[in-house]
Amino acid sequence: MPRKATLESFEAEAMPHLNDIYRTAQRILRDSERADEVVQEVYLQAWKSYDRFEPGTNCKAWLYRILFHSVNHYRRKWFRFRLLSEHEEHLQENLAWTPPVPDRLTDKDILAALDAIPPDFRSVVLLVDVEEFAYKEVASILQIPIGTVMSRLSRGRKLLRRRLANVAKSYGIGRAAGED
Amino acid sequence: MIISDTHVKTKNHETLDKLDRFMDGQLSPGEAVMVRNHLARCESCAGEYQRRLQVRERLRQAVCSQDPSPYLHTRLSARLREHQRYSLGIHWRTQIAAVGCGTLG
Repeated sequence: MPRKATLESFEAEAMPHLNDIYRTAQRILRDSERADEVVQEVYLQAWKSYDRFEPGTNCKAWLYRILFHSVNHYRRKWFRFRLLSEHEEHLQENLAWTPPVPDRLTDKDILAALDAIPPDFRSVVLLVDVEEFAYKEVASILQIPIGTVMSRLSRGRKLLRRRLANVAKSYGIGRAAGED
Repeated sequence: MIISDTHVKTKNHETLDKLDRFMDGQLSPGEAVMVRNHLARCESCAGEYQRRLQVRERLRQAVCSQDPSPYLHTRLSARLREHQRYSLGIHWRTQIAAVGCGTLG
């Protein structure tokens, strides 16, 4: 029997993911007000197409697909971002080993290190490391091949480690990335 | 059995390449067993694995420490209801117009 798409059933299914969607939007856009605006648009879009959502499928992944579609639209409008090509970010490969994260590093330090990573890499790191999506789900959310998910994740994590090592160094802890 | 330095380095390198996918639960069961066995024997790779887990944990904590405004949920609910009322208004106007046309026709 076809399901009746009521606003109440939509809210019961989609609202529990509001904080996750907001946090990801905020980290991608690096702006709370814009994240707020984008998240509202995501939910309005989701509600308009809720009759096409298949019950029992992953609602969170569906909302994230709409989020990244909106984010791409807005970042072209607001920032005139160049979409980063895989080869544009020069990576030193000399940080194969991860330095320990000192306890003295604050959440703010860690978020600053994450925000400094190019958005395409940051998106994949957020989806895998924070939201715990499988590579296949990330490929579907971002509409990219699974091999690209893996390479962006690997590069994004390396960049994050390098930036964390440099923050630790600025506190006089450990050595900066690339120092041997 | 004596294992050469070259073998140890190659083995470490292979494990390092797989460590992220192991951490993400994305290896095949056979590959996961091999990595787990290697981690049990190799202190440097086990240390590396722990540090990568630590970075991930600290990242999760940092991102999850950022809450949206408490009014976001309220504003969003209000916008959804406003949109629903607007859509229902259009729907009923269309229905009434269709009935009207039918009567006149």
